[in-house]
Amino acid sequence: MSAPIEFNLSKEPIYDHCFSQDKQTVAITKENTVEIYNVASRAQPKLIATLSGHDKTVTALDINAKGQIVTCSQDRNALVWDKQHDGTYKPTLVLLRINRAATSVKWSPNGEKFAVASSARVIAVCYFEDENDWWISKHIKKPLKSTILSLDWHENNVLLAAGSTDGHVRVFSAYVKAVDKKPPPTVWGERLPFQTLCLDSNLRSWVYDVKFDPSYQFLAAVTQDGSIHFIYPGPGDQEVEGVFTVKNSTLPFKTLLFVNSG
Amino acid sequence: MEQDWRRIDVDAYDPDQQYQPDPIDVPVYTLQALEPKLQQIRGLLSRGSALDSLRLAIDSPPYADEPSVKKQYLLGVLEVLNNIKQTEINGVIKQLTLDEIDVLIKFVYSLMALKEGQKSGGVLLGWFDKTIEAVGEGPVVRYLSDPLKL
Repeated sequence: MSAPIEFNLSKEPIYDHCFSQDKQTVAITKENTVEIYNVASRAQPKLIATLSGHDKTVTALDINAKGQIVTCSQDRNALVWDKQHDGTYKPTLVLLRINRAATSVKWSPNGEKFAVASSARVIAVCYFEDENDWWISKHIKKPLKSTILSLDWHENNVLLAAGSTDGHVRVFSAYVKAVDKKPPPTVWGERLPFQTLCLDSNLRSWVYDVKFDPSYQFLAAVTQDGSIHFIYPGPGDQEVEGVFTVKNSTLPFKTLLFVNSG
Repeated sequence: MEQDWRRIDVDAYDPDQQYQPDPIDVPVYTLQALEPKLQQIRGLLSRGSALDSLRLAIDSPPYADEPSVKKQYLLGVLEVLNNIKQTEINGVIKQLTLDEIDVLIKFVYSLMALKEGQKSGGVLLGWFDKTIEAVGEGPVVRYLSDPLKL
């Protein structure tokens, strides 16, 4: 196995990071700001931009294929940053209407919407409304009972998996009429109006991270009890066909990632 | 009277924000129903099959019962743990599955909280120490995060 490449970019904790599409730049969170580094030269990362706009710690960020950066913070706001011709970034405030900190944010695969997970027991799905020239958020509330810590989009830009501290992994439909076309039926469900619950699996301890597998047929989740779970949906409505749990003898995992579909 | 308004728990007054944890889906045993099982555990122990006695105690413990019932069950388990010699502990641990070890650690923690258990503190710590050495911190993490508690 090759040695990992190390970038020493910050003395403060990095809550989240994201590489750009071409992997030449990386954005990291740094307290209330986001710093963007050019890492083309591995030995000498260069700071190329600092995004300041949040009043409290930035908890998550994501970059879409168009290069737009969305950041969310403990100040209960999200900002969408657009790159200007001179290399600076201009922020646009997104009114999330949440009354607790935002914990995670992810662009949908086509970059038209993003979902913000929060401690307000709400997922805010945000899309850009052209007529009013601003970002609007729609809330997914039921049946979330506690902080949502992680999100993952399905490739069809409609289904959203969420892992929460109430021990549940859920798959919701985040279909927005203004932005999405009706998706073809998948193993997760057919008729998918906004906020439809497609799957709800109780894993009994805090879910730290949830991911769709590369073929989008099942979910994987890591929880506070130190196990990795694989959740397979069944043919019926909200049916769970099987949950396989791999118990682990170390302290709990915080994130997971599918490396390949082998 | 000036109340410390910054420390008011606003969520307690909001009907929307009351957190209901998921219901525990385990059968409730009565003390009478548990008596024969406890007798069996004691019997196996006196006959010398300590491992089987422990296995029986680990199988479906009364997670959903009243604290008084749980206490009686735990005292039965304490007898078993006390009667297995220090030298035999490693052998016993090797023969238990990971799931059984998780329950064993739950027993040890719950027993440490009882006065009777604290009297055998050394024995309990010995069990805890050897188990974690053999298996890792997994059972401790699972004890902390499991809604099913003894």
